[in-house]
Amino acid sequence: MSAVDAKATAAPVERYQAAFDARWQGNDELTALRRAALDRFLSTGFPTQRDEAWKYTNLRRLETRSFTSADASALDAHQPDWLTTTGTRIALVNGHWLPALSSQTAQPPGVTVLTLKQWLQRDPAAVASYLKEHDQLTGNALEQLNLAFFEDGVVVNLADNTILDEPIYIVHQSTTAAAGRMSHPRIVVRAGRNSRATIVEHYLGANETEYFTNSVTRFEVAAGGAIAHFRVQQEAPRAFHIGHIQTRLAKDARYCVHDIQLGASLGRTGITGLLEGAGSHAALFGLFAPMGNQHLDAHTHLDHIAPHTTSEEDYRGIAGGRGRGVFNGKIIVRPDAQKIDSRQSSRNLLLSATAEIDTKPELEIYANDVKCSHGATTGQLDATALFYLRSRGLSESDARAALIRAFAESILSTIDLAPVRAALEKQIDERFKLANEAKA
Amino acid sequence: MASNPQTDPTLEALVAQKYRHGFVTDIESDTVPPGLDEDVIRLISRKKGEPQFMLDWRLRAYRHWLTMKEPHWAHLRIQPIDYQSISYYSAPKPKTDAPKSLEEVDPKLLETYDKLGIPLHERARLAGVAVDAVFDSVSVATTFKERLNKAGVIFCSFSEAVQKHPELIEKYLGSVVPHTDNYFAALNSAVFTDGSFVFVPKGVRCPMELSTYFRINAAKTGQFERTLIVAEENSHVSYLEGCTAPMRDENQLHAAVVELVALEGAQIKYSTVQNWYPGDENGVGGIYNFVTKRGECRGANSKISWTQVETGSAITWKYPSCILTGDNSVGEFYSVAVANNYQQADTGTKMIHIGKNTRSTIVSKGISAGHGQNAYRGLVKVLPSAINARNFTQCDSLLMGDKCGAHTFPYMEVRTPTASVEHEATTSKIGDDQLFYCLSRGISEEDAVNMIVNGFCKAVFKELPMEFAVEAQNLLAVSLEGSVG
Repeated sequence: MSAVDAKATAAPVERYQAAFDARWQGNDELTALRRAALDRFLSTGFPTQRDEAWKYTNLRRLETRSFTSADASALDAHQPDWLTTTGTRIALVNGHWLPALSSQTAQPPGVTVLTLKQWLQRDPAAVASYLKEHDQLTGNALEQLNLAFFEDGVVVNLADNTILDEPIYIVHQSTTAAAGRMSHPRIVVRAGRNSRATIVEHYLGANETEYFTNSVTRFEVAAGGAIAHFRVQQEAPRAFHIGHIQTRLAKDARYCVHDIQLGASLGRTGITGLLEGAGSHAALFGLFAPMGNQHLDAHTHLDHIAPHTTSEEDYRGIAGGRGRGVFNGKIIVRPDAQKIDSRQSSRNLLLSATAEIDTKPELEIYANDVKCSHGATTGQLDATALFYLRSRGLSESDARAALIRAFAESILSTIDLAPVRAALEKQIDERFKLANEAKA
Repeated sequence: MASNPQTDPTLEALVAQKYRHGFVTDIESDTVPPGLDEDVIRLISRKKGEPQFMLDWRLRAYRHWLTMKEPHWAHLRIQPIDYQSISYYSAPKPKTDAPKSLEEVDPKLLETYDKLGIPLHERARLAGVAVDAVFDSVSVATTFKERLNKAGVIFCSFSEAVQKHPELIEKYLGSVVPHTDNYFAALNSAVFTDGSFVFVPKGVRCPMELSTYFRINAAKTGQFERTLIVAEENSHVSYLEGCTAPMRDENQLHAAVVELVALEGAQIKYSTVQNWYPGDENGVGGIYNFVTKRGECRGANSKISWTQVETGSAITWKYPSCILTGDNSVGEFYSVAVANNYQQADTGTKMIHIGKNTRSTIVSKGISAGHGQNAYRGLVKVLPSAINARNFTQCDSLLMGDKCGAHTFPYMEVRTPTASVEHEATTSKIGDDQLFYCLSRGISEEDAVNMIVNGFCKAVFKELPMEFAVEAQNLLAVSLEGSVG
C-alpha cells in the first residue's frame, strides 16, 4: 500500500491524513463530515503542553507513532478478565463489534441496542445529522480525530419510562492483532424521560501490544432520567488511551460515573457534564493509580448552566514507582445559575520519591447564590496508622497494602454493582501487593 | 429580606460616591515625550547618572522584551496597551537641586499628601515610620535616615542606591526576578525610573517599620518602580507599601517589580495596601496593576511573609511569590482582594519548595461585587529535594451581587512523597440568616455587611501592622459601599 510508505517520512499529523485517505473515500454526507473533522484536527495538530488543558500531559510520544485503523479481528473465547455481569453484553474487539461474544438475549421492551455500524447501515442520514448536530463544532482535537476515524460503537436508546434493571456491559478488547493500530469507538446513549439504566464500559488489552484507543461516549439524559456509568480503563501497559465523556442533563436528570484508570502507558479521561435542566445532578467518582512509568490524567469539567443544579465530585489518585497522576477538575457556574451546590474533592497519595501528582481543582463562578467548595490534598501514608498495624503484627508490606486499599476503598465502596466492585478490589490488591514487594 | 441594592435610595447614594483620592496636583513635570526605543532607555539612564552596568542591564532587558509576546493567559479582559504612547520618564521639577529636609520639599507636594490623609511630617513623627515617598518616579523625601543609619540599615531611593551602593545593586538586582522573567518584568527592567532599596545588615533588627507611599501623578505616565530588599543573616525587617492614585480617564500601566532576598535566619515582612484608581462605576479608566513580586528564602531558617490588601486598580495581575531554597525556610501569603464595579483581579501566589522542611501558608480572601471578577491563581510546587515540605492553602470567595464572578485556579505539583499539601476553597455569599440576625439586633444593613466582611477578612488583617490594619478596614468599607448582595 503506497499510503503506508508515505507515512514513514511524513510529518506526524500528515500521517493521519494518509491513514484517512487509505480508509475513507467517497463523497457522501458522512465522509464529508469526517473530512471536515480531519481538517480541523490537522489544522491544530495534537494539543501541546502550552495548551492549558494539556499542561501536565505530554502527547509527543503518541504523536510520533504511526497508527493505522484497526480491522475487525476474531477472538476465540470470553476473556477471563471480562466482568461477569448479567444483562446485555456487547463486545468490541479492536474497535469492531464481535457478535460471537456478544449476548444474544432478546432486548427488553423500550430498549434498543444497536452497534454504530448497524445504525449506519439502517439510517446513514440519521447518523450524519446526529453527528452534525452534536459534534461538528465542539470538542478538542482528539474528539475531532474520533469523528474522522470512528468505525463502530454502540447506540443505546431508552424509551420514556423504561427502567432497565440489568446493566449494559460494553467491553473493548484489544488483541495482539491491534499492534500499531488505532480504534476510535463511539458510544451514544439517549435516555428518555424518567428512564433508568446502567452502562459499564470496560477497556482491556493484550500484554505488550502498543495501540491507541481514542473513544467518545455521549449521554443525553432527558427529564427525570438517570444513568449510572462505570468506566474501567485497564488497557495493556504499552497502550495509549484517551477517552472523552460528554453528558447533557435535562431537568431533574441524574448522572453518576465511576471513572477508574489503571491501565495504559498514557491514559486520560475527560468528562464534560452540562447541567442544562434545573434539578439535575452529576456525581463523579474517580480513581487513578499510575505505577511504573504510567501517566494517568483525569480531567473533569462540570458546567452548571441551569439554576438549582447540584454536583459532587470525589477523585483519588495513588502514584507509585515513576508514575505520574494528574487531576484537573473545573466547575463553572454560569451567570444567573443561582442556588447551585457543588462540592469537589481531590485526594492523592504519593508512594515513592519518583512519583508525581499534579492537581488543579478550579472554580469559575458567575452567580452569587451558590455554595461551592473544593479541597485537594497530597501526602503519604499516615505514619501512625502504619505503626499501629505493624504493632498488631502485620508485615510492612501488608500494612501498606491495607492502608492503600483503605484509601482506594472510599471510591470503590460507592460502586453498587457487585461484579465491578469485586473485580476492582482484586485488581487494586494485586497491583499494590506487587508494588510493595518490588519496594521491599 | 436582604433589600435589593438597586432600589434602595440610601445605598444608591453610597454607590455613587466618587473616588475619595481623585485629584491631580498641578506641578510642572520634566516629562520625556511618549515612546520607547533604546535612546529613551539611554536617556533615562543618563538622566539618572547611572553606571555603565545599569545601562547594559537595561538594554539587555529591552532587547529581550522585544522578543517577547504580551501574555494572555490570565482570566482578564485587557484593553490593548500601546507601549509607544506611554511616557517613560517623568520627574517633578526640582526647585532646588534636591530637598534635604521636609521644609525644602515642594509645598504643593506636601499638600497632596495632606489630601490623601497622610501628612508626611505628622505621620512620620507620630507613627515612627520612615517614609520614602515616591511622587511619580523620583523620590522627594526620605525621613528618619539618621536613626536607620545608626542601626546600619540602608533605606533609600533606588537611584540613590545605584549611586552610593552600586556593588550591592549589581550583586542583587535581578537575582530573584531576572530581566528575562516575564513580559512586564522585562519592560520594567528596561525602563524603571526609581523605587526603594533596603539593606539590613547581619544580625540587625530594623528599629522601625519602613514605608513607601506611591503616587501616580503626571497624566500619561506609566510608573515603573523597582524595589529591592536584602536582609542579611539573622536580620529582620518589616516593609509597608501603600498606593493611591488620582482620578483619570485613561488607563495607566503600572508594572512594578519587587525583589526580596532573605539570607540565613533573616525575616522579611512585606505588607501592601493597594488603592490605585479603579476606574469609575462604568469601568472607564483605572490603573493596570501588573506587578512581579518575588522573594527568595536563600538561606536556611529564613522567612518571607507577604500580606496584601488589594482594593484598587481596574486590573490587578500579580502573584507575590516565595522561592523556598533554604532548608526550614517559611513562606507566607495573606491576601484580601476586592473587585467592585468593573474591576478585575487575577492574583495569588507561588510557593516553590526546594529546601528540606520548608513550610508555606496561603490564606486568600476574594471579595467580588458589582460586575467585578476576582480570580485566585496559585501554584504550590514541591520539588523532589523538598523532603517533609508542608503547605496549607485556604482560599475563600465572597460574592456580593449577581453580576460578579469569583474564580479559583490552584495548581499543585508534588514530587516528593513526604510532602503534605492541602488546599481548601469555598465560595459563598453573605448569608441571609447572618444579615437577618444583625438587622434584628438593630444594626443597619450597611454596618452588618461591613462587620461580616471584616470578619471574613480577619485572618488576613491580623497579619497587617497596626496602622495599616485600620487603614485597610476603612478602605474595604469604602470600596464595598452599596454592594450589599
